[in-house]
Amino acid sequence: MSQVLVVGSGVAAVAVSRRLLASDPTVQITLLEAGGDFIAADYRQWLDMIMSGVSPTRAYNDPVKDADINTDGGMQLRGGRMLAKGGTTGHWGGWCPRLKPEDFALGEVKGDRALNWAINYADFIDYYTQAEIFLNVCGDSTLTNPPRNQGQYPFAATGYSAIDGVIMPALERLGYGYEAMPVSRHPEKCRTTGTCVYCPFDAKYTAVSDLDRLLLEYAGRIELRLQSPVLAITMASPKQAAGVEVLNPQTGAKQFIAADKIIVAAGTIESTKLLLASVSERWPNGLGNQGGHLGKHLVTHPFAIATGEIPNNQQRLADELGFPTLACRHFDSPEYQELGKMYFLRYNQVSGINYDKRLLDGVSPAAIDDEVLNHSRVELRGMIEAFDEPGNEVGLAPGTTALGLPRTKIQHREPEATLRARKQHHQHLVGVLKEAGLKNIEDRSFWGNRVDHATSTCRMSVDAADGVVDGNLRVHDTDNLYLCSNAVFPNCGAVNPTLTLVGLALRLGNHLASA
Amino acid sequence: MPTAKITRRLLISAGVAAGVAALIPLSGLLVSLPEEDLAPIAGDKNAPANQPYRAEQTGSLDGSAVSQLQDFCRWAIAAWALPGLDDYAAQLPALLELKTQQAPSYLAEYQSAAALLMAARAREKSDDQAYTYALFAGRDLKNSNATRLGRAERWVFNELVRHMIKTGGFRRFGSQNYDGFINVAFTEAGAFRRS
Repeated sequence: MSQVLVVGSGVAAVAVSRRLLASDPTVQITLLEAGGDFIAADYRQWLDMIMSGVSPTRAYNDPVKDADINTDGGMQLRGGRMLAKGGTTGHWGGWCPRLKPEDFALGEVKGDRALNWAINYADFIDYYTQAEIFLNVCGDSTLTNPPRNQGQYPFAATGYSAIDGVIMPALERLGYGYEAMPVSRHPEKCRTTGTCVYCPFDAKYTAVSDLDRLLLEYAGRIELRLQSPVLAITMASPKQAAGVEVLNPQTGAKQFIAADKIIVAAGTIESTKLLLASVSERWPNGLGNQGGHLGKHLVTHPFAIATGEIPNNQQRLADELGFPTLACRHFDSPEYQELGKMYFLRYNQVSGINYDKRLLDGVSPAAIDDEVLNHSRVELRGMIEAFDEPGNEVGLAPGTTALGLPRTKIQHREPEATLRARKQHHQHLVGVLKEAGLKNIEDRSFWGNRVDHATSTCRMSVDAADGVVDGNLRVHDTDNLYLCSNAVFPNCGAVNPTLTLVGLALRLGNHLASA
Repeated sequence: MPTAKITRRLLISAGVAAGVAALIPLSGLLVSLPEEDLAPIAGDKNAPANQPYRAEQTGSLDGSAVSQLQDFCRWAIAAWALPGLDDYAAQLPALLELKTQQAPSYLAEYQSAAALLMAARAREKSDDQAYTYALFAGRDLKNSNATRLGRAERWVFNELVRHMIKTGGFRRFGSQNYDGFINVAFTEAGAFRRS
């Protein structure tokens, strides 16, 4: 049997493990999760959430004291990722757009300021289709930009909400067009409760539930160890990883676990930190850091946000689904790549009045009626493609976190170019709202953004001098050490990263099974 | 004895009948805040702020306490004219059982809130005033978790109001769906309004 250690238990860890177990009967996998247990789709926990307003996932957010963050507001650990079994898909929104072909070739536009991916869209297109099936994505299979190569979504698009109709004519008149937002929702499970952050039906994909299934399906060949923070990767030789050093948080004891292959799938921040913490004579600055790129090039999405009031909302339009249904890729196109692209959607969490809160605030039902009729808002939210900026990076800070991992150091400031792109795209959104006839338009843009879209700190490259991993996600100049996280993206594009990450994980599973 | 002011606006806001609100002086009514309502729950100054009191103590709520909470819900449904909740009070015991039979248990919070309601109904001139007191009188307290009244508002009355709205009361405002409302599969016709 071949012993494979996977660091992390999130969606990347589960996807690569599932593919590897299915493809290679000789593989034995151990998943090492630093966090504790998390139970999805528990009715009582959901009930407590809707009655109290506090999501059960919040307990698994980063404690503020676990990181030293030097930022102008542009990076927050807390609220982005989940530190528990199954990782961040425990609370994700399930938005699943693909990157576009030009995103894989940003170096063609940005020259020395960016790197092309070591793979291209055409090579990856089938893995996108597989990832959409893996994540139970509802989407429009007739769309052709980006190309789908006849790949079918497993489920039809969800349909547009009535409130989308406020925006659609404006998008048509402006020539921007629109399309269905691809979302991970199982249509037979979803009951439109709108509490998607903690779904009582497990209707969106969660790695925690898939992991439970995996442990049953492959019992005897896969093991999960919770509360097992990995402190370092130990090398048997300059190129050969021998295993990992794991902390027992209760006793403080450290244990060595041997492996034939190691896959680090612990998210952008923790994966990067683990390589940085794994130093040796051959790798004095961290594993894979021969080119000086480990921890560098940190990017994530800022948001451009504009909202406007629906005048005379006699239809009492409000959000009726718990996820966005309308998106626009007009600005997510090659002509905007120099500026920084934008993928925008009608955001789904602001278009209604919070009746229970207003009543408990002492507002009369008549006054709430007036708010519904005259002050219901529509929000357009755009994710902006950010570019690499020297000095934006992840590192190790002194001390340990609550889970026993090294504390995090983040340096992240908004580049002038990103600010410029964010402001220009905000004006594009304002233009749409004005064209739609909305009033009292507000700028709610913010640079502050979360770490769950962070990428590029272990970027892939053809040449070892330019990055940390190769096109097969193997750490450069090692034989058996792989990285499977958003950290390997050379750039972030303008869309959510998870679908692409799952595609990469499935591709890595195939690669390892065939190696 | 400490006091809290209940105004006509507050009563009208709460949906109380205009005839009842008219009995309140224009300057508002100062209601007494009984010492026992301002004391810590069960006299325990160390009651946790981030979870129900004695969350590990599971069990069933006694019939009298259930009845008090049912009456509160009936009043709120009527006061705010919340539609589609005719069976809510009848189904409330099952909800309370679910919240008290497993940790984190709300048993101690429900018992305390029910006792507070019973005392308020005996003390105030009308049930309208008693329930308004229960919902709103404690909101200006500085450390609401340190008092029975504040805890009853947070852990019991406010939570029940949220549940009633999400269970169907939101239709009062013309919506078809609402966060927390369990509807049907979105693939079914009529599940949501389509553009």
